[in-house]
Amino acid sequence: MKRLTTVQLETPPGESLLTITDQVKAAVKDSGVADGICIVFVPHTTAGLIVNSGSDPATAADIGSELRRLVPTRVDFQHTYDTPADAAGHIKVALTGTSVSLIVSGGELALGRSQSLMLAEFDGPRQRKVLVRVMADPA
Amino acid sequence: MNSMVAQVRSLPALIREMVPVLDDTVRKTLDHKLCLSVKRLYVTGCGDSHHAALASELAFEALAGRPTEPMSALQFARYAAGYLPPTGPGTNLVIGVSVSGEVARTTEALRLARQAGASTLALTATPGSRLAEAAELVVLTTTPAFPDPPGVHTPRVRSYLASQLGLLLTAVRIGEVRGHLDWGAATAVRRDILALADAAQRTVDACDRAAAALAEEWRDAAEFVFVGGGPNYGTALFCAAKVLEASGDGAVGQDTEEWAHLQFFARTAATPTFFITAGGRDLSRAAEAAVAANAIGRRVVAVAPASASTLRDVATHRLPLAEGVPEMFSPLLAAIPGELFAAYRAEVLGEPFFRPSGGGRAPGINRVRTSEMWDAIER
Repeated sequence: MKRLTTVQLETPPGESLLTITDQVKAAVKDSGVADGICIVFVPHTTAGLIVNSGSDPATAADIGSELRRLVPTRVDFQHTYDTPADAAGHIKVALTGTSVSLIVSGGELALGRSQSLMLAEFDGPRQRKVLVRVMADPA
Repeated sequence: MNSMVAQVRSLPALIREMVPVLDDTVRKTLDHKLCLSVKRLYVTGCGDSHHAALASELAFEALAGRPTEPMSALQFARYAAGYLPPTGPGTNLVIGVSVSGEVARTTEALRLARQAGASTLALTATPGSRLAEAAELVVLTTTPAFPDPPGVHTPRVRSYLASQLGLLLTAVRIGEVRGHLDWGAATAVRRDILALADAAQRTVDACDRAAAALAEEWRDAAEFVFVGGGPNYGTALFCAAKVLEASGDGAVGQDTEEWAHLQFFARTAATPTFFITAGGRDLSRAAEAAVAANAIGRRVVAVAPASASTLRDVATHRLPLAEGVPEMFSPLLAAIPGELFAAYRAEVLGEPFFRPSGGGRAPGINRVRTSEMWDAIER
């Protein structure tokens, strides 16, 4: 019974959306929880989480390009300690969020048929962690 | 204890101490706008600072991804500042290096660079100095105190290392902000720079006794030549400068190719000649030159890692550098053998550092700080 799992990921350079559904499903299975809540959390400030369609890579590309349109990489960010891409990444994560709560039912994640869980990397390449905590409903 | 040797032995700890501090300073000083605007860099200074500039050129080009010209302060101030490419604000970045921040020529260079519309950065250990006042931006390279024994003024090696680290981390910063290095690459480079502390320790350990023995063995020598190529041309000039400062011997630093063109005409055949290479792109030429040096009776020292066997095999003496250090970072280590030799040479001769009572030390003679500046001359 493993209630907390840490998923390790190596992200590619720049921005990317990496599907982590299978790793989270495996963590749910390892937890032995039949019915409850699965909280997925990314303990980073330039990587977030998105639940969306993972079946067509073009969707991920559209999400990425729209986030770039909303938050262009520019030179006049106030946070200049790292790079402009890093500063933009902080804002993009503020939009995506860093955690999602998912329902566990019958020992499975209750995701929609087209839904995938994706790590949104905004300043790769990095080594990222995703924490998965599974809690059973009260008896 | 020889105070110059003590300084050299302190270098590994200094790297560990200075890298995080300088990295933080550089990140806070060089903003995104400047890093993204810059098209070319000029790194200028006098003496040790000029040598540090020469030693940093390869790192700037590799890490910052921008063409970089190291120049002596006189060359930049009087012959280059008036001819900077007029490519717009922020496109020419001139870095002036001076530990004291008070040397006239480097201050003049930054003043003229600003007049020419360049962005200016002072790399100095002295806040509020003339150089710092002349520049728009300042990176302080102040090292932790390392007091000299009473009455002794020790040739500086710690400040040279700090200047080099400041320049390297500036190159990383520019390269990272520009996207020439991604986060992973920049992080790895910073880690490599920090790891130079271990490589410096290995180099000190390998060279300390050997340099002392060489200084004793060559007590009879009257002049010394240091030869280097690429980033270690600066190292060669710096090592020669340290011998001059420490023992007062005639010493010159020379580019490897230039040595091969000129030194055959020297009168003294047995001149100790140090060939310095990290085993990079200059190795083949250094090995050829060392063969020639043997042929004309020079006493040949290989200052190189063990893997540079083509040079080491033809040398009569060896002062080993740590293995596995990228050529662009090698000047941080490659000066150590020459520094140690200079320190022990002074000790063997019983020569006080800097000849404190000599004519050249009298006030108003060398005018490093009081030299007339261009604006006064023009007036």
